[in-house]
Amino acid sequence: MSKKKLIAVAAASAAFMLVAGGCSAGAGAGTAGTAADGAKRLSFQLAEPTSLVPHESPGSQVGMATCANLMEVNVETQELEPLAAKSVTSQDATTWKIALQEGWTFQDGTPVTADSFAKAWSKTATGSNAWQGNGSFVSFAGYKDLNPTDGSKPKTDSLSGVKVIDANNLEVTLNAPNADFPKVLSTSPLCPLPEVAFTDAKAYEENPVSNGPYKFVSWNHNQEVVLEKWDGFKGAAGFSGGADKLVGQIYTAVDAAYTDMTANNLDMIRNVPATMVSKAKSQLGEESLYEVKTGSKQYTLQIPDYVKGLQDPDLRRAISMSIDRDAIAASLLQGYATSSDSLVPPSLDSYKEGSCASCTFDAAGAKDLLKKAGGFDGTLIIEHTSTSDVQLVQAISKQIQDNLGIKVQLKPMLGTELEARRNNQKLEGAVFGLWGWSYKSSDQYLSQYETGGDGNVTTGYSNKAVDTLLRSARGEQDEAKSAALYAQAEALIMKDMPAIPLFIPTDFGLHTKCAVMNDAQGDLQFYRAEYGC
Amino acid sequence: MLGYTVRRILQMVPVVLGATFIIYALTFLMPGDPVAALTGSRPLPESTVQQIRLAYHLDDPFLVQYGNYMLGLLQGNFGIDFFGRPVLGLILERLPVTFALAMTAWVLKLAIGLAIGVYGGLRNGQAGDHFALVFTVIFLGIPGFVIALGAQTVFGVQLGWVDPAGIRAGWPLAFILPALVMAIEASAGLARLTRTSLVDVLRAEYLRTARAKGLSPRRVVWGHALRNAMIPVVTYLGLSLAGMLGGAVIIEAIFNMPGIGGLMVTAINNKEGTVVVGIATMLVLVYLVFNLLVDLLYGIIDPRVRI
Amino acid sequence: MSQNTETTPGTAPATDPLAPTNPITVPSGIRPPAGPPAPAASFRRKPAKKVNRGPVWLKPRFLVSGTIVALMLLMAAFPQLFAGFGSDPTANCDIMNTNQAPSPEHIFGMDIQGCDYYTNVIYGARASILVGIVVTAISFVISALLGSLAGYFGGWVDTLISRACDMAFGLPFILAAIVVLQLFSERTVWTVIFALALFSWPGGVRFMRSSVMEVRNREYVQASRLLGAGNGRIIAKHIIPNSLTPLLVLQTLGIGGVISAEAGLTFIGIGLTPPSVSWGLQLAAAREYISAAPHLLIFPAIFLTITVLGFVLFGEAMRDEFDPKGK
Repeated sequence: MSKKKLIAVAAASAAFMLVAGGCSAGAGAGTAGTAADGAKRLSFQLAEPTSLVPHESPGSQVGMATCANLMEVNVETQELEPLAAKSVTSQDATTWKIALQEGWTFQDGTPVTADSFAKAWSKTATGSNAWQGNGSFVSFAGYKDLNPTDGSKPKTDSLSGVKVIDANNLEVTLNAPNADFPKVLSTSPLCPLPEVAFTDAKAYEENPVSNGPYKFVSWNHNQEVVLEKWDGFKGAAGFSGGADKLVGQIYTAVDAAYTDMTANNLDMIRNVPATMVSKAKSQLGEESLYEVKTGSKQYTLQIPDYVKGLQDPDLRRAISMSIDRDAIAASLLQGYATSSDSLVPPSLDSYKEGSCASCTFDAAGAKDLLKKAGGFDGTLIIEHTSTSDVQLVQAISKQIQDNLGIKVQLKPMLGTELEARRNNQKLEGAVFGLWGWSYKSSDQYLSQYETGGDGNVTTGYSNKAVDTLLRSARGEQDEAKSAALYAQAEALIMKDMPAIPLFIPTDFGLHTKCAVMNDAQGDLQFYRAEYGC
Repeated sequence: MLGYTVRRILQMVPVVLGATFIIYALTFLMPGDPVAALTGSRPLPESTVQQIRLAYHLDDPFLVQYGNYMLGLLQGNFGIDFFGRPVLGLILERLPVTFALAMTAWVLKLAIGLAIGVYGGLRNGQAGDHFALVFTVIFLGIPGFVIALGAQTVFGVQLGWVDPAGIRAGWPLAFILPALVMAIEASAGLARLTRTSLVDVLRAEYLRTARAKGLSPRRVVWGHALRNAMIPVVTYLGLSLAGMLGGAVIIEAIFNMPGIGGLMVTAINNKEGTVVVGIATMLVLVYLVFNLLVDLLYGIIDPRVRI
Repeated sequence: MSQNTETTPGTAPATDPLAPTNPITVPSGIRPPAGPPAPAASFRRKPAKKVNRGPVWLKPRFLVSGTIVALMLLMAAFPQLFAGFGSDPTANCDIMNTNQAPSPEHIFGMDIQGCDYYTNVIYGARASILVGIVVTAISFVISALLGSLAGYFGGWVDTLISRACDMAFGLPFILAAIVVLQLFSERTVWTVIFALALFSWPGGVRFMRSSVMEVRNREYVQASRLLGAGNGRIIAKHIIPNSLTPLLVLQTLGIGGVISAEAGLTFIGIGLTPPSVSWGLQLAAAREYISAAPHLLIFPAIFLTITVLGFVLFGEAMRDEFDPKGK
């Protein structure tokens, strides 16, 4: 599943209209969707990977294609189902029993055992390895022992919360109840690793072997990564894809990928910007667009609690009401976004229509509220990354400025700088950003407003009642009850408005006739594509 | 000549030191946290951040960091980036692409620029000369990226003569269009320089003498004038090749060529000091070496210069 | 000049502001130009034509380029004259009109934010012209100072300055500019001027240096030195009049290049940032809309091209007329 939260940051490094990749070096095998050697070949847009090992580079399309997690979304049912696991169960949402499928192997023929998971998780959770998947294990019991914060060496090398019962059974203990644990199991950092990854880590980096539907063939740096269908994969068709050969062609700019697609050299692109959608519609035709039906992302304007002068909820509401979201969605975003009126996207069960009453455009009402809040004579600073959505931020700031009559100043900066300011709580004003889930759960959005929660550092919002509600929602295994608790929490947060909901963008993929794209609960995954020629 | 070469090489040392120091200092001063680039919005746990900062000496004072870096560099160690990949490998991986692009562009530029320059110079003041002026002025004026985007759309997408992006087709097919765009942009300067130089030489006393001696106009032009007119041109050409290596950022971006330019901008955005300085060092060295070669070449083509 | 002319062939003139427009070559490093003083003028008419010269300002090339330059200067100083008084590039915008094509009311159409594009393009002149002129002025002052020092005194002063030039030349311009510009998160015209000025002087210094060296070694200067003239007197009476004019002319030639450089840097996202209004920003924003709204690209591109051409031609006309060496 997609791992990445703040998509804007990923875009920051890539979007700097930069280049990086060429394409496959294979002589003459350039044409999209061709069956060069009789094989069903599909190519997809890729950025030069930092690593092919999913634990080190979570969310990479290559990692997803090569790894079969314990739980995965079946694209045929669009449900989260056990894949490498036979079952994942818990009584209290704290201790989880995992039974593995029997007789599954890695692509090199070695068996997939409970150890393959336990050892991989311990290695990833060890801070000194500096693997990027590290954060996924914070909720595991024993995480702290592997990650001492006083600079000392950890006394152990394994997660005490992970117990290997026998070759096919695992038991995981969490720090606190979390009914989303099966969803966590579907993310890249929870992949298993074969024995060779521990005995010869360096060689494994170059030539990774995993247990997924596709196996790694070759990586021609800055040009392409070639994957091949693995015939030993025992999962259902809904966990795999239709291509025999998948080629990740490396680009750093989506423009270059698009241009290559117009020349019929590329089959699939994801995260297509709104401007490109209209262009593609006229140049490549309506049928080239794949619309992701499940909206998993949200644009917001978050307001840090520590910024003086922006604390009054009425002022925040006034700002929210002064933005004509519908107009911007219809014009600038060309209809490829909808106005957002809640702190979660409508695709989540906890979503309540109109939970944000002040998200409807009302210039006069906004001015009244501003008066009620005692006016605002400072300058509203909006910080954002300089490399993505610049026009959108400008349009929003213009709306606030014109409709509310206050001064707005934009502060564009590099992703690294914005992150540093966010993480060190050095923001000077509101911050514009795009948030997405790692797996479909309200928790992924609302934990931003839980004290110390994932992403909470941005606003620093803290409310005991909210914390309690979120904790109990997380521990509740009954989905309806849990959704109701999340909704309650959201309503409470909304009263203080630490974030102004803006838009839910419509996510698009671009594809050729041969590539029939599929998404897993809102996440476009290239390897899931069917072959349609 | 040998003594001169050695002296010049010694002179390079402070230049390389100074240039890398400047870039290193600037990268150090850039706002933002390099570790943040690694993690996205999800802050890495404190311990991981600590480990990374430790591994990359990020908490050391600036001069210590620079010192360590230079010590490594002296041993041929360009350091590693934040993903643990050796910087030298990253650069060498991409250098061939940039080198092929720059060389192709340079050769094309040479052909276009010299042709127009010589043509204009020989027809000084006539219609042909004015054509040369118009050509050069127009290409100096149109922003390079506009030409690049136009060429990509027309030749790559609409006519489909070449791949619009990427280097899948290999050299020369994938390199021709971007190189041609670079060459056209750059040939204006060369054409003007050649033309001016040629006009000046044609007016010089010794050519009058040559003509008076009864040499055929052809021999005057090709045997004497061009040879002498080439002296300033050689300098320009030598140094422009060095420059081209470091400067194809926009062209590489538009045509999706995996060269040094892309690496450079990503590294700067992620505040990866080791990569930025590695590239800078490499490019400064290339520049200085070309500079030296050009000066040595002088001794060969211009007998008046004794070094 | 001899230098890294093509630092970014992509933006060709963009990178080394002085180089492409400047056909005078000074071999790098160690010595003054070989051979007889190279006449600097590049596009000169034949001597015969010189007889019936009218006043300088009536020459067609001077007239045309001068008019463009004057018009652009006026536009930069008083955009209201062209866009209408009371107009403001961000006034009367309606996001619903985003990217509207040109129409009789809005002859350049509307921009992405739904603002009148004509007004915006007119207001864009200021940034370009300001950057061009101020950077050139700074570079002129630095070149004149360092170049004379190096050329006149030679020795360790020369070595020091020449090595500094090598350093600044050797640094890939675009890399250095990106790093410097990234130091600032909000980049105004002055930030960009700072970054460009930081790397635009070495060409001028080298030119000045060799030009001063050459003057210093002329026989009559040597003679006056033998007659007891001091450094100050020689510099004032001989060096400056003979070297400064060519330098000024050379720098004028560079203005067009600097303007291009600003647009190029801004285009790749490291130059000016909003709320600045500039052609480079407009072109960068237009890139995403090339097929949907080509007018966004066309108008600023035309203005930019004409301005750069105007300054280049103007510089050349100036050189033809005022460069003493050219006569």
